[in-house]
Amino acid sequence: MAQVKLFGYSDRISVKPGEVIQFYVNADGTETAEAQLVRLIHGDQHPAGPGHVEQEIECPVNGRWRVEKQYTQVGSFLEAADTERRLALEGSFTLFAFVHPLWPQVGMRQCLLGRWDNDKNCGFGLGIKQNGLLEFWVGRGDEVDYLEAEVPLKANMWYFVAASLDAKTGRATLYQEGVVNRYNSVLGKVAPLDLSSHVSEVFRFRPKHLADTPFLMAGSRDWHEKRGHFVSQLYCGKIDRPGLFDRVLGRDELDLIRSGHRPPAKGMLAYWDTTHGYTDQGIGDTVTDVGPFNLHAKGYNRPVRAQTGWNWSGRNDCFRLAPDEYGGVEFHSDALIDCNWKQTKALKLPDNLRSGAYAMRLRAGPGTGLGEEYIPFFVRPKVPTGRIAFLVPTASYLAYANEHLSFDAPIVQGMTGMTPILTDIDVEMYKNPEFGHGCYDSWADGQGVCYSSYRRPVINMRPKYRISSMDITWQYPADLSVIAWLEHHNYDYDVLTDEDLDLEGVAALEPYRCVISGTHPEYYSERMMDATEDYIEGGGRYIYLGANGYYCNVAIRREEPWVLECRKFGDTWKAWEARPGEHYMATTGQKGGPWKCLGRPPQKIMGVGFVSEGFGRSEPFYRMPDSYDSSLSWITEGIEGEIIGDFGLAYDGAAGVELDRYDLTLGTPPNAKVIASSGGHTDNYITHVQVQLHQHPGITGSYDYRVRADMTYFAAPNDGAVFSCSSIAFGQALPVNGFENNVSRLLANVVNAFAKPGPLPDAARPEVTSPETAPAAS
Amino acid sequence: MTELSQAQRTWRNPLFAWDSAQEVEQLPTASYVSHQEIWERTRSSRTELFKVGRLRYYHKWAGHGQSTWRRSRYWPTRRRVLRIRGEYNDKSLRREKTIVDKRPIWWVVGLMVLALVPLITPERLENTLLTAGVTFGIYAAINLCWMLVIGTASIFSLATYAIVGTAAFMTAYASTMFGLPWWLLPPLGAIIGLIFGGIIALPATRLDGFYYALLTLGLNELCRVYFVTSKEFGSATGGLYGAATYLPQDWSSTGQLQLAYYACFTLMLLALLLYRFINGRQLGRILRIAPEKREAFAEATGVDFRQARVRVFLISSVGLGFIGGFYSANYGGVAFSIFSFDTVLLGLAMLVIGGIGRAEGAVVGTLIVVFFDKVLITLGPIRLIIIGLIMLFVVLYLRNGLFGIKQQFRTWRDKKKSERRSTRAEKGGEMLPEEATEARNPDDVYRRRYDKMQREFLKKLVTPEVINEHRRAPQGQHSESLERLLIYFRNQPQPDKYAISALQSTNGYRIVALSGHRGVAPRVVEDKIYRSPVEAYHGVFLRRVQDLLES
Amino acid sequence: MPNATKIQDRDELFKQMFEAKQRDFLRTLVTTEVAEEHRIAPCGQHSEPLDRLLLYFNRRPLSERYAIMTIEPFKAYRVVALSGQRGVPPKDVDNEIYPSHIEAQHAIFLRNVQELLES
Repeated sequence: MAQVKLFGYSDRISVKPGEVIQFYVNADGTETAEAQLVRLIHGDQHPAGPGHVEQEIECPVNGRWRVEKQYTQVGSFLEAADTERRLALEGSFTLFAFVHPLWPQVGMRQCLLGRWDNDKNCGFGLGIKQNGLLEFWVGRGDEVDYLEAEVPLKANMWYFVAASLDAKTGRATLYQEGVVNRYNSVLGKVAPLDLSSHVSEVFRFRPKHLADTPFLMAGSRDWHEKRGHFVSQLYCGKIDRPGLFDRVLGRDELDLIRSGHRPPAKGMLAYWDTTHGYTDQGIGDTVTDVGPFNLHAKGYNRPVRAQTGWNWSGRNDCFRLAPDEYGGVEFHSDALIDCNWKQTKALKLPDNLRSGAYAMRLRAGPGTGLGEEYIPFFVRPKVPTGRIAFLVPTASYLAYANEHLSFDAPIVQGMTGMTPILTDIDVEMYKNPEFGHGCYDSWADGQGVCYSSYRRPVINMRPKYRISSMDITWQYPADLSVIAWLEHHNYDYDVLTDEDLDLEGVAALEPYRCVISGTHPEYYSERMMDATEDYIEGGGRYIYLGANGYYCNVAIRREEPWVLECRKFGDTWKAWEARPGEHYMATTGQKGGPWKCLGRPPQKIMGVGFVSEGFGRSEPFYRMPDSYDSSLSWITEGIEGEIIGDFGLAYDGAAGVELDRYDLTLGTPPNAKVIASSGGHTDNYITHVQVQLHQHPGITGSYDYRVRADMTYFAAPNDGAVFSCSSIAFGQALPVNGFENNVSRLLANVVNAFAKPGPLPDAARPEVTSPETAPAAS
Repeated sequence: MTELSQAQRTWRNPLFAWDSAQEVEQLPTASYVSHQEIWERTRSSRTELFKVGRLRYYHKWAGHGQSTWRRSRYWPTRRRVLRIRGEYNDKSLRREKTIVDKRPIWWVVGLMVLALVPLITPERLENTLLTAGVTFGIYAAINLCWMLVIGTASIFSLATYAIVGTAAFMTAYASTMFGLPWWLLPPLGAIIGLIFGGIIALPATRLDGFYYALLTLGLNELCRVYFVTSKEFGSATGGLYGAATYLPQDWSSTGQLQLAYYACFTLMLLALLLYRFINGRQLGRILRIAPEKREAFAEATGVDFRQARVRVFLISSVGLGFIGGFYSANYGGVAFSIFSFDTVLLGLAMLVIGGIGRAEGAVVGTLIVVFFDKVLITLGPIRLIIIGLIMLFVVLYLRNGLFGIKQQFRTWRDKKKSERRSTRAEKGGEMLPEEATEARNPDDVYRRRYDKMQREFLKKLVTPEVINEHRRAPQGQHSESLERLLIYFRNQPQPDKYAISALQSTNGYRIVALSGHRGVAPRVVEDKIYRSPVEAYHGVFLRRVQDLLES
Repeated sequence: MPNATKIQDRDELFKQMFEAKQRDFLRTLVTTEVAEEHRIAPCGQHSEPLDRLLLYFNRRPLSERYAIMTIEPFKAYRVVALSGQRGVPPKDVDNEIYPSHIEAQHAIFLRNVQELLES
């Protein structure tokens, strides 16, 4: 019998009681699975903590589910809305496009444009052959006639390509010319490379068309016994302004289009102007046909827009300045936004469900390993009730979703200083492209992944999961340690997510006296940043319970909150780098990248910001002088000695993994106090590129005093306050010794004070000489 | 330096000042070695470096660039007149075109020469050469059909001449007895071939190669004995003569000879066409994906290769019968020698010399054997010994006949090349100039040099102290020696890089190696199960040290 | 830390604490071998102890740093102390003249070591 494997996802991540959530499950080796709704309390199986803790919850869909094998369409492509079959051409025609192939020699046929049925060999197509040659083909069903160019396409170069078929003579002509300028391609003008190729031949027949074949760009129709219709021959690369004519365009006419002239009107069937539709707020997934029939093309799996086109001149770095130069639509053969599986079950959440982290637990076969699956979601209250909100950083979960660093990133062992510890699920994901990638990966063609979604199984957004490259819990399972802490201390808390924050703004936070963040809320959209800043300024009290947060700008469409856009570039550590000119997000038209580079370092809101990361070893915090300030003694009340957190589930210390630092030059409010700081970090902790202008020896833990976590507190306007823990390992120190430890005590002191109505203890006594008013002297 | 002081043999931990329970104050360590030493010491390569460069074996045509390249096909097929590969020269980026398959050119030239032979033959040789040419045409045609059976269908049949002979005798008989005109003889022969082929095709699907060869050889002998002893087939005259012939009796013997030459030449062309249509199209393709060892696989994928083989066998039998009929019409009859064992053997020699599985092998093999057998007739019996020697040479030294020489030479040359390199190159060492010319990215050439130097240096850092230090704390602050080793190990490329696999079943850990290729799971490198991650980390370290010292 | 409340920048507080610990550690690295290693080759690749010492010295605030003053190129050099203040020229620290900048560098190293040990 085949190995039992269960994977699933849900359509929503944040749900309220009474609302419906749908589950999608794929099963291998089994036809049924046992489903059980569970409330998740703790997800780290480290022996020094409480282990995995969950509560089974009654619900109508508990019990046996019928599950089946599901199929996933990976790869992005465009489909033209050609209901009247105008593109099923019988007579002469010409196809053309500007293209920028990323991986022409992939060894598989890639279809650029065509109305082609791969299974029945009918229609026509223009594509790239296995060995990288541009190819035009026409199929009659039993036979296919091919015509290929003379020399293979070179990767990362812009070309103008066209193919025409003269129905009368049968003459097929292929046109390939480079359109390389000083900026747009990997090679410039000095490389002695002749990109032109013009080949012509007489075909034996004209295409035969099937009624239902769609006209696709970057893929072609295919069929499989079990799957039915799907798209194969997926293309990796950019396409810019493709078109279709019902006559043969001569060499001179094509030369004109190549040099940037608008294609002639005579005989135009379709001309997809990929530069059409840009607004100040970005662009959607529909590519406009400005030809006579409006055969607009819809993107599947989000082809990447806002990319530079063939005529990018290097002067303008954003589509908002020169939309005409941003015609590039980029496709990837392994892009995945939505698995679009058949729904397995829908659940209307019981009205009495408490807010919290929930999951549908599925088990089949052995019920462990790959035979066990949790589909997590978060339940918000119908009406906010608690004083405390735990804000789950789901945007950051998306950014890290299904990262493949242990397998694909040669630098990761050097970075972590550790050998990866893999489990079956990691290997399963590596073997199978249907899990998609996260923003820490590159697509197979080498370009960085800028879209990530939760409408697919996200294997690292699961309890018990340990990130393989570091052997600790990370993001979701690490944040469960905070939930377990809240549960242990019986706080009345609600859970809400980044998705809610992005959609509702400050209104989502306002009902709460105290908001606690996740352990690594790194990815923040502008709406989320604004809401957080407004909440604190309006008197809210915020506990930033992690590090390297509020770091990178991302964008989320309101109507499709399950997809995150992230562009990495510039002054930061990054898993990949967006090309020049492609730093603005298609979702909002905003510049991506680190908030620091956009003028909003995290210090400005939280008092601290990212300074260093290491792994392998965490250190304790040492109390700093401010903790002895009698007005702040409530924070360290009941804590003995000067060392805080010399224990933890993440490398035996409360200060570790990633660290944040107090920095007046980057906008830490000058009234901020440092309660404790960590020190003695190993040389595996390196200071971040943003805090220095040059790299030089001596910027690591044992040399550089900046490598540390600063536990920081400051009072904000209107009785607001911010407490920042500045370390990812902080949350994972909470569960040690049955939650009875000085880190837990310190956090409880802060939460208790923050959640209590009225001014904070330190605000009660007015400061006589306020050094804050004096200019910061050194 | 002299005796090392205590301080030099001790590593002091910069983090000890932080009173962390995790850090030691000091550890014994190896003495400091500069990484630059190896660079300063290495002044020349250990092996002699020769000037390199590759010979250009083939003419490369220039590319078309802006001008349109008009291509054409063999009507009505999809095949291009010449298979041409266009590419960029890796080194110079020059546009190049290579004729991938030059056989069409050789065929055209070869066939044109054959067509011109009667016109350019000196008069005194005319008789010998044209007679030999006639034999050549017929035998080449026979061998092409035979090649289909042996090469394409992989049926080791020796009954070829039995089919030809039977068809020839039957048609000659029909012609002499019923006065059939000459043009009816080949079609009639074809029918006889079909029947004969049908009969012997049956056991072909059941019997193994060797037994089938024996069976068909027996059949050949049976036919010989039958015809030799049958009075109506001319047991008295050594053959059956008097059949209708297409050669006008009133022509001069030269004219007749020339006509016969061209007729047989045409016959060979027809056989070539047959060969091309069977071997080069669907039937041949089916059989090529199902070579002997993979028949089960082919069957599983739904390819009915048995039926395909029988069909090829039947079609070639029809062809052989047709040739038999033509044989009668050409010679006005047929002799018993067509069944004789030496005919079979000579035919086999023709196939083997040319190389099994190619049309040009059948034709050129025939040409060679016929040349020795029929043209050098003055040599006497020694010519048969020469044929035997050629055959022996081919069987002993060539893997696939004369036309396999090119491939065989290339394989041999590549083998020699890698042998020569392996004697000079060291494992994990620098690229030799001849290797470097083949490197796609010159950056790799330097990376190999750097890596070699780095490893030479790092080997000196491996001491018991370092290994103990790692066992104590795989993560954390390390002495310079250990840290240098770890940094090197961790920054290696992904393929074959070690990782640890957590085993759910046993709660243990095992060392695996990453594939470095998406979609390919890591492979297990050892069976040992470690009880904790820390032990596994150290296990990985020891393996890496081992690999370093062995390189 | 008595003057902690007077320091506005908490970063400075931590820096002082860090450097105090660092100096404690660095003092343990000072040996005659390290001094000898530096004398032979003030620049280039060094052993870990010497490297750590040099990295510390080379990152002192400019007002605590020494430099070499050329009196006559390739003939005479002198050690000076930088002021760290724009417009204020470096000061001579002694009257010693070194015939090469290598020797001057080593003199600076010895001065730095001396100050480290005395701190």
